[in-house]
Amino acid sequence: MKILKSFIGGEFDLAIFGLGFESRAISAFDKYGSDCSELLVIGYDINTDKFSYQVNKSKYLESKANIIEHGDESVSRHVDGFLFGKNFDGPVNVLLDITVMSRHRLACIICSLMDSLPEHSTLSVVYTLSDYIPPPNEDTPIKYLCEITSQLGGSIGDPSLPTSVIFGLGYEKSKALGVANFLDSGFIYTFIPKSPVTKFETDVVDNNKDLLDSISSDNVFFYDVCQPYSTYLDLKSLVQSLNKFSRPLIIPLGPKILAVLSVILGKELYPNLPVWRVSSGYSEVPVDRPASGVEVNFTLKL
Amino acid sequence: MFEKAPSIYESFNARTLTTQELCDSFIVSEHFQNLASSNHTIMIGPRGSGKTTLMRMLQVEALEIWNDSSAPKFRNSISFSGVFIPTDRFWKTQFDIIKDKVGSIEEGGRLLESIFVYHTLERMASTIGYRVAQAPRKKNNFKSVVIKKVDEAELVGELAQLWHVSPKICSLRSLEVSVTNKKKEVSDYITSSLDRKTIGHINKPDIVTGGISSILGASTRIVNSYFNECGHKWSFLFDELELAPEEIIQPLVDSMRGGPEDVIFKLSLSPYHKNLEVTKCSDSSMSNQDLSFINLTGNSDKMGLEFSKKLCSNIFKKNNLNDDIESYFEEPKPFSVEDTFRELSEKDLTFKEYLDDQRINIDDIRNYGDKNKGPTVRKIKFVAHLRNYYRKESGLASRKRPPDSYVGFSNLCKAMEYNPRMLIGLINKFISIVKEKKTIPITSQLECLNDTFRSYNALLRTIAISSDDNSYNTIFDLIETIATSFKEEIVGAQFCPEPKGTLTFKKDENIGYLAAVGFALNAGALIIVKNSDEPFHDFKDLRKARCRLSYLFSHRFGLLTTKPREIELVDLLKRSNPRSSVIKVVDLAENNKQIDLL
Repeated sequence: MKILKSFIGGEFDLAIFGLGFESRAISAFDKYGSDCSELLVIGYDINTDKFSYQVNKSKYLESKANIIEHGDESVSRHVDGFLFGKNFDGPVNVLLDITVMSRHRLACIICSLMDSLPEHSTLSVVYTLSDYIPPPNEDTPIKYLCEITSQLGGSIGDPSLPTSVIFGLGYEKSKALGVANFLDSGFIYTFIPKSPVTKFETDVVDNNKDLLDSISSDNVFFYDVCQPYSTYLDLKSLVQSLNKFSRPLIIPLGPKILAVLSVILGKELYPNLPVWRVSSGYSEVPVDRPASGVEVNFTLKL
Repeated sequence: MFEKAPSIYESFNARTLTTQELCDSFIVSEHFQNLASSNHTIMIGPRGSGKTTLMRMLQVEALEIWNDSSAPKFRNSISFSGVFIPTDRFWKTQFDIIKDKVGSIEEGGRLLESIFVYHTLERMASTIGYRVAQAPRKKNNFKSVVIKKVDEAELVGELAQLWHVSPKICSLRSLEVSVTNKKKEVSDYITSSLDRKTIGHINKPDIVTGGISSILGASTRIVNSYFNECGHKWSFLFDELELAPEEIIQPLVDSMRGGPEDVIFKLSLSPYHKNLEVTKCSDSSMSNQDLSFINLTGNSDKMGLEFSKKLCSNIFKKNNLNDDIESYFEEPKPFSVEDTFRELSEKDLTFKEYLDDQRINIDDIRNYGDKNKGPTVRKIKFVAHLRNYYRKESGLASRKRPPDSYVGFSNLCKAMEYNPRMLIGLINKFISIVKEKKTIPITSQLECLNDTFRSYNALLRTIAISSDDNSYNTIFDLIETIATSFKEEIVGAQFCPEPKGTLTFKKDENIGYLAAVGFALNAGALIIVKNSDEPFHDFKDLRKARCRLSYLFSHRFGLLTTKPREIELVDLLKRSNPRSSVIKVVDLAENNKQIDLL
């Protein structure tokens, strides 16, 4: 498999869209929906009364999409079942919109697709950047820290080697610091997102000040959210370098595009690169995120 | 593209230093002298308290290359060969995740545990190899051994048979490599067996049998026999033992009560963790002569300051700042007790009444001796100082800046609890100030102290707890409640000559809070107060303990840096949040289940 330098648009044999309460949830569907032969829409079983969920759902219903609404714990099973029933007899072109998918959900779906799609298929991933929404004011203590999906837990590894944690930083205050404190790892590296919505970057740096102050500037990297191909190469290069003297672990906070790239890399380097997720759990209050008008995309050739 | 670059964070973490770097920066303390004894030892301390440094310095290699003036004394007195066994929280979390899955694999649990056993054996093999190596760099030949090649080959054969490994050639180096490979073989087997696509692709590895203690006992006997060192002790230095697999920990602790005779165990632990019985034993072998305890927190000021001076001086000297470390710090002016008492009695009627009741005449204070109100004045002067600072005529003043009395070199070290990692973090902030201004002004000291406080709070705010009335979401919320209550004791409406400022947990109602207290202890936010009659508090049973807040909170909340009177935690919390009765900790290590996330 390889990530292509350019996004491949055009006709898709299958498109998987997310159904959520955010108003941006429908942006990719508006753009690509008519180019897709078959639509699978994956919704949630919670927060279905929040913000634009029902409006978004009606739009998908109008297009006669196949809609499933489940919790994260069972969505993987449903997607596996759906893909198993397809019986692909040759390469296909698939579109995946990750905009409103949780990290766990997008990881499960990508792993399923990478395992199920025939060789030489393409998987085109799209992500609609949100407009600036201020970070939550309250503390975001860490309540869950675990593998992003059970398929990317990685091997037990060698306890003689130190841990290198690679954080994709988000803008929630000190979230990465909490994980760094818990793991007390030997080496810490951070990836800070730069995007056309520049206010995010300021918040990311401000709200991770304590962590950033405690590590060498050599360990701080910036990535362009709109350049997933080069971000993937940087990430891969770092992981391969760290693998020589430590056990690397990726925890992609921040924009989901980094989570997708981490999942792809975790799958590619399996079992040598565990990918984890972090959450404050249900204490995270639902917030609407309107589309910024910027789409990030890339294509993975299997 | 990317090369490994050490960071400031890494320099605070003894695990990532090379042995040479560790030796170059090592400061001898009383704790090291105690740890270097030939007893089984349990050492407790929160993050950054120096456990790893102390343990690593007992390795054969560290003692060989350590070049300090006190090193020869330790080389002469240390009779054992130290084998350092590091642990790692990420590895432990991975272990726990995989442990839940290996039930489907035949002997999955035993295979998984064997990785840690091989990890220990790998470190032992490395130490054996170092002792035999005739490296030209070895100046001191500490525990060096010369054996013939034929004996080395035989020794390797014996150990390989015991450890179920297959070195390619009969050398100690090859033995170590074979143990490393065995770890990988077991790890690969487990990974492939858990993946439906690869299950059955790898043959089940042949692994070492028996408990870790008996394996180490047998191994040391074999090595001693070939080294012609009958009865030589091997000390296994398990760092952060709570991060070892649970199935390994208790047998190791139990081995301290009559384990293999050539083996000494030295275990470092965080102050609190559940499911581990260490000191609850009526067995006579657990008496102090067989097992020593070292508590790295709550050091005496004398011992802590002596250590801090050496540590901080070293850092300054590396930056070409060679004067007496204390001379770089502007010292706060001592406050006048007479002036303080006079000012406070003018604006606080309750204080004036207390002085009148005690028949303390402010004009005579200088003349009071030990038999004539001197002890009373000494007892209340710091309380009066803080109360006077924070009160104005009409009540509490809204002062943002803490009083100067919290800074100066010795007070700053005390605020850091003499914790090496925190001291290193703080002292590095001062270097650029000294280079610019020669002396560090009080305002700069307060700024750096506040900065450290803020960073530390940021950490505490990431540790999740939950309470039945939703008033506590993080450990910081709990600490803030405690600190605010202690401050109220000092500046509240009624002058209190002996304000409460330490916590006890004797009442049964405290049980709902003890796990949170344990987390606060592990984070270093709470400190167990040492009792002179009792060398060690049983950290398993916190209800016997008495705790205080870390002195890092003192300047922010206007608290005493002494050990004030005690109050039951439950009474303090009921006063602040009458509805709260249970605080649950959020244990990330146990929360590794899949959840719905948005």
